Amino acid sequence: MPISAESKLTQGERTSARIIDGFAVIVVNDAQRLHTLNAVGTRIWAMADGRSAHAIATALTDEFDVDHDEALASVVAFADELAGVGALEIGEPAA
Amino acid sequence: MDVGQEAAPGSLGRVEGWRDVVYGGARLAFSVGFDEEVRADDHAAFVRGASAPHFAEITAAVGRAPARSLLGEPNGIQWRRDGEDVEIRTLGARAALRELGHGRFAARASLVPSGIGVPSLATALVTTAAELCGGVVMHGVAVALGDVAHLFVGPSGAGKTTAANHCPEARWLARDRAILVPGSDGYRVYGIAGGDPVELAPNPEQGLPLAAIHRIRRDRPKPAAERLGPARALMAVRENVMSGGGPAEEPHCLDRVMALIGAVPVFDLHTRLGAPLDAVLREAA
Repeated sequence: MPISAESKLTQGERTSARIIDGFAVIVVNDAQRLHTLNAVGTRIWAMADGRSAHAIATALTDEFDVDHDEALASVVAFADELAGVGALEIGEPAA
Repeated sequence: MDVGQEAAPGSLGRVEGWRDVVYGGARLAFSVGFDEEVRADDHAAFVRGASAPHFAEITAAVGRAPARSLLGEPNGIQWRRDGEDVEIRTLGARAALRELGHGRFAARASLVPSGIGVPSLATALVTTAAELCGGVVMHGVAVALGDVAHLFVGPSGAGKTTAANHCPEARWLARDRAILVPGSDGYRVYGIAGGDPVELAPNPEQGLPLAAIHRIRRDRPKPAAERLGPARALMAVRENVMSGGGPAEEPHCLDRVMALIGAVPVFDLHTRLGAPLDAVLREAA
């Protein structure tokens, strides 16, 4: 599914994660694969509670030295990557 | 399981009635309801007398399973919770394990008479009990250096066995799989069967306090130990944990690994062929 600014991002139900020393370590339970995220990725992951990519990008602009377009592009690319390994679920924007 | 006693070459002896041993740090009392020949394998090297120190006691009543009933069982260990019981499946054997109290377990098991079922079942019971006691089972090589243990981890071919062979003052504790169990004095390490046969030095102490975990690296000109931060330590350890609980138990597995890395330092151990590691390990401990 293509990810848009209005797509809803949610942590995968079948994942286990711990944020440790500011970095998220995520296990995709079924695949038993581990992933570590950097500081920005960890913040995106932490905010992936059903919020839209746009909302997360807006929050990132408050926390990091980045403009909204760049933040949104990062969120979309990151979400695409994590969805590809089963760590993130992408929801359709509300009609 | 009569593997702690003398047996004819090629055999570990016959099992019928009660056998009482310590294997992998757990005391196992078996009641086998039929006459079973147990083939020689490497389990015997890890079996100690029942008076050895142990972290758990498991009493198991073992019955015969029809030969065809356990076909298709995993060539490994899988377990899942089912009410008060933990259902365990492994090669040639099944068991229901129930915790009676802290570190005390009872099991009902069935196995196909095959010569390998009893050792296979013993490994499954001990490793599962270790996980239920808050421990972890790890793919790795453990050595004793002085009064403490060091665990080498990494994927197959990383150089774990080579690293152990570069510790001339150390004694082998585990050559492929180790059980790490928390206790009042930190984590203790116990070896269990698995991996390529190597000569195990006598280790009457059975288990030792774990001083450090080392992820093997071979990318520096001189041996050195570099301590990992918490996130990298979590990755390094979790990648080498062998949990039979599968996806459903992953959150609990991560919690156990978090507790482990909170208690035991984790290093990248840079090794070089021909360079002894004893001094580096001592410094890390």
